[in-house]
Amino acid sequence: MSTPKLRARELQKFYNGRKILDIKDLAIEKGELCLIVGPNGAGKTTLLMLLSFLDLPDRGEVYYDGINPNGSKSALLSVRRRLTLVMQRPVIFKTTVFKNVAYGLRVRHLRRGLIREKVTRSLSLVGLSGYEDRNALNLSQGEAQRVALARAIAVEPEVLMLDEPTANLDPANIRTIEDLVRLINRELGTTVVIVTHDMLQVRRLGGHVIFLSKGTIIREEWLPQITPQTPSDLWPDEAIEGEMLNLTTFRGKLGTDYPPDVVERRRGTALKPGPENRPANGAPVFPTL
Amino acid sequence: MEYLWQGLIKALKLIVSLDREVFGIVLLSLRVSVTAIVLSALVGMPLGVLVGLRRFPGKRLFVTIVNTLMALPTVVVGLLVYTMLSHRGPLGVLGLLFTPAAMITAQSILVLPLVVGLTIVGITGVDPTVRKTAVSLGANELQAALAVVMEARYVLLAAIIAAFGRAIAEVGAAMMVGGNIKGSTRVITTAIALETGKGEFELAFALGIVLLSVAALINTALYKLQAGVR
Repeated sequence: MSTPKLRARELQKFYNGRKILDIKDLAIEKGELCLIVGPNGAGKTTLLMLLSFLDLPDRGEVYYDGINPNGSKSALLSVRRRLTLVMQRPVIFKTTVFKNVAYGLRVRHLRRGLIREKVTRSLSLVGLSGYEDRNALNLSQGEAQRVALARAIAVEPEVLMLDEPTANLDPANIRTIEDLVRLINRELGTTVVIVTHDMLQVRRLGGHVIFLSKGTIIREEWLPQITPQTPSDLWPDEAIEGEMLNLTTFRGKLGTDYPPDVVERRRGTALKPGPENRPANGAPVFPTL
Repeated sequence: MEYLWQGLIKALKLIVSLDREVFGIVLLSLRVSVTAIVLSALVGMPLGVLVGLRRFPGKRLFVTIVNTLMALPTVVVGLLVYTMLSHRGPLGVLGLLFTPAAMITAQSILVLPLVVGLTIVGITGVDPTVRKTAVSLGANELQAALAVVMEARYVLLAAIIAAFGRAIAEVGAAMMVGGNIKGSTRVITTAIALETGKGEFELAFALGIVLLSVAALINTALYKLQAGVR
């Protein structure tokens, strides 16, 4: 099996002498859509800060492509330039929307023309074309969240991390962001890690689901990554919500837990069963229901 | 009351006629205070940014001392610089006493705590997630620090405005180390003090009006600049 994109081993974090995070082993594969779920105070954000190398663990290691960059300034900067995190309450710099989105490109010293091109593309992806010259301080919450997202995807990260990206947003903005997450994950092949407490969002997005409680992983599941077709896919009624709290386990490895001809969904495309489309034995699968 | 009005009218005439003495004094005032602000900003802002961003033992004590020095009496600075620059003082050989350079030195020392203190206030007032956001977007340490400075830029400009106001309006230090020598170290405030003492109010009034106008003009310009960097 190939090296995971991100791996955490024996990871511990303490706060005021209390252990708030204790992760034995966690692997996030390249191209995965990974959802970290759990109640408030479960350690989700703490884990995300460690996985994004913005905070140091008290014990244990985090590996990026098999390398632990903590401790080396240059390795850390190089890894940080390959992943990016959008915080729960993203800070929007007190300047124009353009300069906000261009920030990550400017610190990488890209050419002006290229910066303009990438900013335009990112803003169009989040549905904010034409917002370039607006004062970023006058945006609505949903727009600000989308600007933060555009700023993150503008640098074309290998791993995009989102901390509660849709908390406190209205349904239309939630839909925009979830669609964008699917697009980035499937079309661009970006590994996406999302922290959420919304089980419906977990159902809507699917993927590698990590259940966190009191700082430890209590369950890991691989849910089908659905492409919503009907509004009811997006907004299941309360009955489905009740059902969702009782998630069925779909974890498994191809060839051992599942027969080799299982229909596999990868990046949203249902592959026809057959030897030519068969992933290698041991690869994580997302079988359809 | 009559002499007050006459003084005011004569003062306006002095200004309108672009009186050479008045404008010589005004230009020297500006030269001294602007140079002092530039010097103290060059030293004080980086220092304030560093203190604001870093955690180190004794930081609280340092900030307390800086805050105390913000209220430094101008005559104390005058005394300090005078004793340093007088011919018996350690820097007496430089022969700077009673020159504009001495006044610049005194005013720089006077406003330095103000610049450092307000910079620290501005930097520590910036949401700590600004730095983390910059880092998560690929900024190195210096770039992240600059992002924080950019977020604090309104407060930093306010620091410059406050420092300039203090420098151009102070009289004690300028009088003591400059000596109020006509045509050489006479600035607006020392001239007003002298003319008032002599009972010649027209020049004092004229300079007072100019001082207020200059302050208003520069503050307006800085606020415009502030609006421009939004």
